[in-house]
Amino acid sequence: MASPSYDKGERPMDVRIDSFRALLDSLPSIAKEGLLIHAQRLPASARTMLLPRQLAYYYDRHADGESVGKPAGFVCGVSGRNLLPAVNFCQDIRAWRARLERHGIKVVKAASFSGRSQRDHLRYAKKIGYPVVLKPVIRNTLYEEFITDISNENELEFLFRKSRELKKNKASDLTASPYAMTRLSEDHVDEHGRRFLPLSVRYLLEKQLAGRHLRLIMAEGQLAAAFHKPLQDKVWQPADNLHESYRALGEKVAKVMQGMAFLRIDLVVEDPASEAKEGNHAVISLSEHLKCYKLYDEHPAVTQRLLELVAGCSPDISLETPLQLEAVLAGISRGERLERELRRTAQALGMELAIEELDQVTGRVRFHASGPAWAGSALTWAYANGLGIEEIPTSVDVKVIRSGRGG
Amino acid sequence: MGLRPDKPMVGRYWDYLETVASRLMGSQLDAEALAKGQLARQLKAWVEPTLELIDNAKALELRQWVKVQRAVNSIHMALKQLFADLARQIQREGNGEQPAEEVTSASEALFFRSERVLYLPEAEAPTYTYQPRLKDVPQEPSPPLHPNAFDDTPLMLPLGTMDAKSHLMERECLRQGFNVLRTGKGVFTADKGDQRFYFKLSRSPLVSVDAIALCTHKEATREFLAPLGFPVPRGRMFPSGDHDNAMRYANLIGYPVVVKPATGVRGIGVVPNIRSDEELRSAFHVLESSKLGHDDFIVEKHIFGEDYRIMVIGGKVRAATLRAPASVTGDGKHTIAELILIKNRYRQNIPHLKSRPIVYTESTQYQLDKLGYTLHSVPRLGERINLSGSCNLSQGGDSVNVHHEMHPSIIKVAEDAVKAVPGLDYCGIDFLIEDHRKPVGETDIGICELNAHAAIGTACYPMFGEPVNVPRQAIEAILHNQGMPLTPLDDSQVSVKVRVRGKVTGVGFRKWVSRHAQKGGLTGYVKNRDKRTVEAVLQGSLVAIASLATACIRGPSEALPTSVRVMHVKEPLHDGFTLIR
Repeated sequence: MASPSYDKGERPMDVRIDSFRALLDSLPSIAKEGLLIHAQRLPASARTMLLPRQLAYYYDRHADGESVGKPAGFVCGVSGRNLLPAVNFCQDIRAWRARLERHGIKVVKAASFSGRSQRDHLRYAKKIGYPVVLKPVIRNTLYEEFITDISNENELEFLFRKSRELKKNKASDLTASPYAMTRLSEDHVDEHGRRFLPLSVRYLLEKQLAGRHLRLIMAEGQLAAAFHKPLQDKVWQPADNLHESYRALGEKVAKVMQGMAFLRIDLVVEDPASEAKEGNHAVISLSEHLKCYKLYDEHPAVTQRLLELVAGCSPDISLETPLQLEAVLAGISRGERLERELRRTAQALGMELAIEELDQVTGRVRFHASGPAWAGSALTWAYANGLGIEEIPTSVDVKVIRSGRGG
Repeated sequence: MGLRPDKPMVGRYWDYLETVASRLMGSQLDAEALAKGQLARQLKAWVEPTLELIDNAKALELRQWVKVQRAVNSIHMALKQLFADLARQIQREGNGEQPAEEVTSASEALFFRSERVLYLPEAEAPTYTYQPRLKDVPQEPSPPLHPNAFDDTPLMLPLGTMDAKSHLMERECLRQGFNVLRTGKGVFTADKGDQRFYFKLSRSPLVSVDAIALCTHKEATREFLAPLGFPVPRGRMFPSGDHDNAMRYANLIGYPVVVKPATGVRGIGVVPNIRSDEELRSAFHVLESSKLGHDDFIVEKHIFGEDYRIMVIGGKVRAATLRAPASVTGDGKHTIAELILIKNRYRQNIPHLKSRPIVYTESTQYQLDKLGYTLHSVPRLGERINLSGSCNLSQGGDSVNVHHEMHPSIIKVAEDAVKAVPGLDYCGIDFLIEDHRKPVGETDIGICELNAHAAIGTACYPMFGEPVNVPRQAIEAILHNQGMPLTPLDDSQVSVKVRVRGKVTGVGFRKWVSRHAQKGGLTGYVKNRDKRTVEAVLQGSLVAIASLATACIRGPSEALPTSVRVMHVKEPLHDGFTLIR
């Protein structure tokens, strides 16, 4: 999968956006999952604290309307109910493969090689046969950097080298995983001064299987949804006649990956409706990212159910219900530019805006905004994560003053 | 020998040691003088150039200083051997049948003398006395603390330079009867029955993903904690070059302030204790000319005080470690150079500090210059000489557990701050505190950072003060959270089977295991199971077993192990350790 690019010239806020779906389409995919959860939680929470790196805290509303207790935390749309080392384990392909194999779960044939062993991976590719898939063993970014359909030796050699090269500004703050293990070794610099990943960073070479993609979404150890698609297709179809053995397989993987409250399991299978047997299925990836945004357009009802499971609440108002909120931005240095951008963004989203405080010495900006619930969520999410704006605050503290239900 | 400034100091030192050895060999020694140990003066004359060497030493890199330390230790051993040989030679030449004890006593006497002149002097153990200064007024000192010495140090030798965090967690998992599968230097899974826990370095199931995302972003931590009323230093981030607003902000929050780059590492570009607009302007200049000069920067209120790491597990403070800058305390007899070597010798008894000696760097030179001292100065009794501006333990800093005298109000702040962050059951909070014995309102205090995967060796093996087994408490908290009973094994008699997979045969793996097992006093055996697996049964103390099991993921230099499985087994006690061929 190619890295999601985010070009300043294409920033979405210059145009009129009149629906949540249109807005979602205009965002980089990295920020979509977080916004879906945010749109679920914001209207239902007494107070919301949005911090850099797509970190969001939602405080529950007490009977008297005040916020209480510990907030629920989400990062990049991933629930804080997932435990850290389990997620790190998911990001380390070698680690989870070893674990699944030990429990008799079929994983795709693969081997990993360091940057020192170019010859070895070519030899291994020859042994397992093309086409092959190349991916980093440890995923330090939020997206999965797979290179698929590598069909010959030259291509593999070129892509192996290319994928290891570090480009300037390759990974923006948005794509870097805030909970990954940081790289400890020094970058490798070649004789031309080009920077590469450290030689010790390993890449995995795996056999690209033929069949159908099966995606199992697990919540608290149970199967929450299942989808499938032919390998080349983009659109997922619900696996209504999923064979019971795949459900059992999903539950077994979820049990092995204890500590993952929500887990996405991707497999390649011959036929999801027939029994999982030796040789007709293999797990190709595990992830903490459920990627609900990929299902949002075609399967809104299932997606809504999944989002409610992850967000831990069901909103009692629709996305179109009017909402009034008060937000405080911190860490603002160029007040004029912020004001200009804020007015333009609010206008694009069809919201009414009143700026009540703007102090660029303390860096504090306070404003009221009213409009549809989806626009309120989008405005605050865009500001917290620097989407389409230049003046990025260090935090956004939001209070819902009035929502459609009058609370 | 003379001074040869063009040659690196370590090289010169070796030359010198060689000179000492050859002079000794070629000198006229008589049996009587040797037996009486009367060579001190002669030896001292040969050793004198060392003084010159230390005096002329420029700022050294850490590795160089470590080499010098090793050289001192090696000559120690070499001289011991040399004197034993000489004594034997003299015994033969003296055509008499001298009793064996006399030879031993002669070599011991010489060894003792050489020890003195080679800067390994016998001295009182260094102590640590806490005495803060509030507004430059020294406060009542706390009772002095004596340095710890841990029996675990020799047992943890197989680990070498490997990080101890993951090992300490593994040790406690094994103690609770878990089997362990290690797939990397810092990665392992502990399992027992249906329960399975993942660990990565000190990242444990007590921390959630959102908590780590918060803790690894200092600005986010401040924005989260400040509205909840916790004592975080008041401050904010500015974009590069926004000096006017930053200056107005500094005046708003009041001096003194600190300026630092937002993405700071190792103190680059940090200017503390800025007291006026003028100083702030020069601080901006320092910042801009540093490597991180083009980054965003932070202006925040300066907090006076020392650096503390408070460990909170399961909502309770378990240890509070003061990280003091590298220092020596004068005894009125030894020079500063000698005091450093003495202290480093005591640091050798602390597993966590063993590979982190006090080093002579530019910073040491700067600190000594400030006091008007050199390495040859003899500080007066009780005088504390700071050798570094940094509290970093790897720069020779001391770790002192002060939990016993920390004021309850500070403990409460630490516990409440961790409780406020969801999904954070294990945390090391970094505080700056002026005097930890005073309540929160009466002393300057500030939370600098939350560490969701804090180093645990500092609290486990402090240089001074009571050690606290933090990994044990973390594992117990995990079991408590899962509703599992605690089933600790007897630390002194553990029996495990270790299976190491990967490129482990034909690389001397069994010999390596056998050597370390014997050094650690373990019994059992090691054998090749198949072409890619080595199997060993290890019986003995938990510490020795756990450190050898952790080190197996690295093995000898030619090996490339991919996984290490450690399983508890019930086997009859083996007699000695066997290498099965």
